[in-house]
Amino acid sequence: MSDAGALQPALPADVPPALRAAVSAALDWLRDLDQEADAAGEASDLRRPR
Amino acid sequence: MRPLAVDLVLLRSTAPDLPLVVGRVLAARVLERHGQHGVINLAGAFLTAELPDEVQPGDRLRLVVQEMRGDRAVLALAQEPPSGPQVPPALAEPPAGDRVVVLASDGEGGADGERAQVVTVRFEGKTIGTVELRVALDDSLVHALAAFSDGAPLELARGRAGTLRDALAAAASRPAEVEVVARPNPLDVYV
Repeated sequence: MSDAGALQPALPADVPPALRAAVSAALDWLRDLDQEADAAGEASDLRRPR
Repeated sequence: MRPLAVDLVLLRSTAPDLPLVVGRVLAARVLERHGQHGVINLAGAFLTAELPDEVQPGDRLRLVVQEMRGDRAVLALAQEPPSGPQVPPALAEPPAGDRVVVLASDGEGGADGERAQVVTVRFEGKTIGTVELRVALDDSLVHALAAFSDGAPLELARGRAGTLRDALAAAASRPAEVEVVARPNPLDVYV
């Protein structure tokens, strides 16, 4: 599902482990949400102009 | 840690929205230890598992879904629990995926004055569009604010906010609060 220009985030080294884990969990949630919307065939309704 | 076979009926009854997909990494916390076994909290479900010798109550584990077998999910340890204050960065980075950009991180009143306590990222979803996400952490709470495009993406996210709250609480080992809001303007950056 990655775009050709996908970026991998690099959190600063001083981000605490718990916050790092929380951000990772939140991004997983966003990816699941995106996949769910995509799988539901709602792309044309959900997509918004950038 | 030997692979852990989890009853899917139990897990789905406790955490119906937990994504159980092969390769997915899930956060769990060790609650108790008795000999070689212990009780872990996985998305609110209390599970018994064989634990590595060095794992102690309070440790956080990252479990990867290895296999789905009928009514069981097989989970394995994705990383050893941290022996020091830092999780190895390579294992703690958010996974690669769609476009994700770290917009800011800072230490809003962090207790030690050194460590970042807030991270803001922008997520570019293929279907849900641009999302600005702000995650803040203090000693007692983890808080997430997610700003979606108004309309279907926002409604979908609001319907799944409980899943995010559970995931954050498990990942950060503290209570979580989640706010899902509309982005005021598609071009604004929510920081």
